[in-house]
Amino acid sequence: MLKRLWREPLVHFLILGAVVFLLFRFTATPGAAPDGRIVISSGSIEQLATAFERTWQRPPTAGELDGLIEDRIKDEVLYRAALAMGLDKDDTVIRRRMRQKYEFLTEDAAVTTAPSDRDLQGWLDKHPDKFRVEPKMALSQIYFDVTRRGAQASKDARTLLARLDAAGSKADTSELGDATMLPGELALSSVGEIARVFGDSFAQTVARMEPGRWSGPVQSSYGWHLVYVSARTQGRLRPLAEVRDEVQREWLTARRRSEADARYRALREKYEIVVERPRVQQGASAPESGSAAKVARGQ
Amino acid sequence: MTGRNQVHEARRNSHTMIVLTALMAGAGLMCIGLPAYSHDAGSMDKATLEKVFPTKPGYSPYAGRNFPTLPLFGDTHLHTAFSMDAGAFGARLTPKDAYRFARGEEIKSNSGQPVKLSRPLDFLVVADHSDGMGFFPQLMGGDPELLATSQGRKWYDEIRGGKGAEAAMDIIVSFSNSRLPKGFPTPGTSAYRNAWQETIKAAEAYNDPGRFTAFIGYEWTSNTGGNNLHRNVVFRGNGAQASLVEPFTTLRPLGSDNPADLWKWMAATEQKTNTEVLAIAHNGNLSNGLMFPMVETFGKKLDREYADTRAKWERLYEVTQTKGTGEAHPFLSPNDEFANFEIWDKGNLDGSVPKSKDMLEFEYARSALKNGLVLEAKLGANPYKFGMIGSSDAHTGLSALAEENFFGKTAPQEPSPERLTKVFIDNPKTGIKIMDWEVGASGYAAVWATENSREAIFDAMKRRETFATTGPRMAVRFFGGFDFDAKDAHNRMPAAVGYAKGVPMGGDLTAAPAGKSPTFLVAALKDAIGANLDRIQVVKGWVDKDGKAQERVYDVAVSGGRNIDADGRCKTPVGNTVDLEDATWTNTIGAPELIAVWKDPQFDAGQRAFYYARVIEIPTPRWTAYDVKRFGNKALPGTRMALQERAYTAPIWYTPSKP
Repeated sequence: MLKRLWREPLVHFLILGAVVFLLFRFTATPGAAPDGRIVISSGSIEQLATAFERTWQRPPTAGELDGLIEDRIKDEVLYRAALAMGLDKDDTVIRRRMRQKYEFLTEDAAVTTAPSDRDLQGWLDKHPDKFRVEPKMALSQIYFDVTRRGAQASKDARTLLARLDAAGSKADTSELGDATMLPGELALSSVGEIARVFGDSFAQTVARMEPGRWSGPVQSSYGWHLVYVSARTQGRLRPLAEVRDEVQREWLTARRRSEADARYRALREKYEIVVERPRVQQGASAPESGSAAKVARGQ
Repeated sequence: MTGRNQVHEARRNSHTMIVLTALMAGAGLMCIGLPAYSHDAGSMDKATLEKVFPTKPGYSPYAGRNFPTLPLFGDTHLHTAFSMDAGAFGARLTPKDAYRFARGEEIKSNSGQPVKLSRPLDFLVVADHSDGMGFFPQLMGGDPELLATSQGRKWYDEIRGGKGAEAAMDIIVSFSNSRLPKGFPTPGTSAYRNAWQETIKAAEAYNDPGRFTAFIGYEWTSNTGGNNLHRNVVFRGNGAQASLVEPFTTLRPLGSDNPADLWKWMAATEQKTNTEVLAIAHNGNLSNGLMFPMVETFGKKLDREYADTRAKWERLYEVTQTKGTGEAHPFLSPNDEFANFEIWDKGNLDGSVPKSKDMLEFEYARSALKNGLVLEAKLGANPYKFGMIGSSDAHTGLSALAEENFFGKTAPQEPSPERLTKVFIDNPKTGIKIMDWEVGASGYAAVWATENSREAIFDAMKRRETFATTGPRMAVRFFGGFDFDAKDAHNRMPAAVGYAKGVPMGGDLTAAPAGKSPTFLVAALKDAIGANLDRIQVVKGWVDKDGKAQERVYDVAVSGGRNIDADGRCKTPVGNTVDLEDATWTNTIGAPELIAVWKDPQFDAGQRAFYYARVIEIPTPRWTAYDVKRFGNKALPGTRMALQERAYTAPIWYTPSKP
């Protein structure tokens, strides 16, 4: 009975038909035969509602949610229509977007490989100055106002300096010189920080001063000053433990850049690149055709 | 609600306690029973003060001071490539680049030029537009649907044809008119979330308390009809807190163009993130009369709630930036010869509607401060009680605003021989045209904060202890009280006297003692590498007995021994040393420092008033002059080539006890 059935052409036909049907069913691509369904899943509705809530700090009303869903449907319908028309093909903006997405994604991939201590130490050794503790000075200053004293200002400063030398460090200087909004004392500050208050040339001069005595007069863009450097700390290199976060930030920034470059070069290697420049006219500069040749070799 | 208030209250109290403790400790006084130190002059009498600041403190007169000693300079309004229009304009620098540059590092500009600041900034807010935040390709190409629209197709063609700047202008115009196509990145999409997270990550990476503060923020760009109602939103808190929300946008259904809705978002955000936010409006000059309304706004009559809410969230106003300075307008202040400074008054932001004179009153800071007093009398609260700051609004990631180091407002305006002659905004329908040369190299926000940290700077902004500068970093002190006298101007430590006897800029005076008028201690110190000062002025605004707002400008300290006449004005100009050909000037005129005590000569204790200081530098070359010198080209006729840079302090308000 079974044997007879196997020989029956109608059965052959039915089996073949089923196979063809199943094959078709599982291999058909949506592009070839557009899927006629758009499903807005409960998950994506929840997403819409969450997004709304994040900006408005309240859940959407039923009407608002309907609006959001309608918009999402329209999005999908038109997106598919545009794809079907091939609007994504050969389009500068889309290409740029794809490139950016690629760069964005691969850049983030570089970050997942966290630097080891050795990486960071190596970086620190190579760029010690970026992480150095700058030398710092604490200072007091006595101000001589040129607007008030004219050319006498620097002379007055010199006269006072002689008296201060005699009086030694115990002298109360808080009432000497002219009143000013400039700070009379600066706590330990780097040359850069001093420059921001008194100007660059003043800061450079003060940086060379001997601590523990009144010196000057030093000119700033405000007038003349006598300066007492009361403390000075040496600049020093900082160990990794102290600057780990900063070194890591700089390391990552540099690493991202170099890895992106390397990745691009590797990708580019895979292609034979042909640049067909319009023929160079007579008299045009030679180096340009030279560079064209280089490009053609894929460098 | 109450829980939140308690937290708030506790924080304020603890702040007061720290101040108080430090004051007492500094003075070597551990006694109790001192009245709380506050910014209300009324709660401090002279005897108390002498106890707090005894005549014989410890040896060092500077020890133990806890008030701010140096102003911090920064920019609260900088765009990067993450802003839709900036990206289309050609900006490529990201928030990270922006923070690196502000911290003083040399970087490559969008046009590939090396650029560095003369000195680092102390703080920066990267404030990219919340609408469409992300890369401009997310806007332009994130959705193929975009290209099926005529607009998308037009931008696509323009960008392909190398006309990115035109596309950018068109995007701004379309945005103004709510004509943006679908495909615009909105909160909730992963593209949007990425951009916000990148913004937060950049701020977190470069925030370095004590040295450099990187705030988290964004710009809410309400621009319906091309009328500028933009606000920058600044977070006090950190990345974890800011990540709990996404920025508020203006496009419906997720956003709104009504500031009242932004304030609701801010209130909800504070509750949700357990930190604080503030909003800073800018460019009222391009709002066509909508920035500071007097009667109604968004179809609603102004009421007490509007005034209270606006005053709560908007403690500062950005009074000067690249798109013009909005302190005063010559039409509104005909007697103020310094009012005509970097004015943009041709129309609204996209030039779609020309300006009419009746709009001006509702656009400029001084008239808003005046109208605020009128509204306070009417509504019981002053919606326009703001301090002033300057910022850049640069769309380049570069906060480079010195005249001699100006990198433009947009990427195409980075230094080039063309920027002296190119057109920036051109609306053929209205004929409104704004040239690149009209863009100002302005300004910075200066803040009297006790330390360089998010918290300290934010708190100083909140108490309005700020001033605006048009670029230079001058230091300006402004204190008001009833007991300042001429001697205080000679005090060795004006700030100590100022805080002791009065309130600093941004503060309040109330209930004048019988027979006393407000007195002000005002001092200014020039930029360490900048030009000398011409004069300090006090601008007074008040409401007269007929309920009309009035204003008057007084010169209170002038350089070079010039006279201040009986009418309170010095009519002799300071002079001019500018050599346009060489783009130089000399500090042979003016003064490096000015200080004065000034008493209001026309005070009426029953009238509301405000006072703010304006500090004017001697004339110096404008950025256009440096361009002519460095590129060896010619400026167009009418190009402004020199200017007098300036600073504006936050006002001090006087409110009668029984108004």
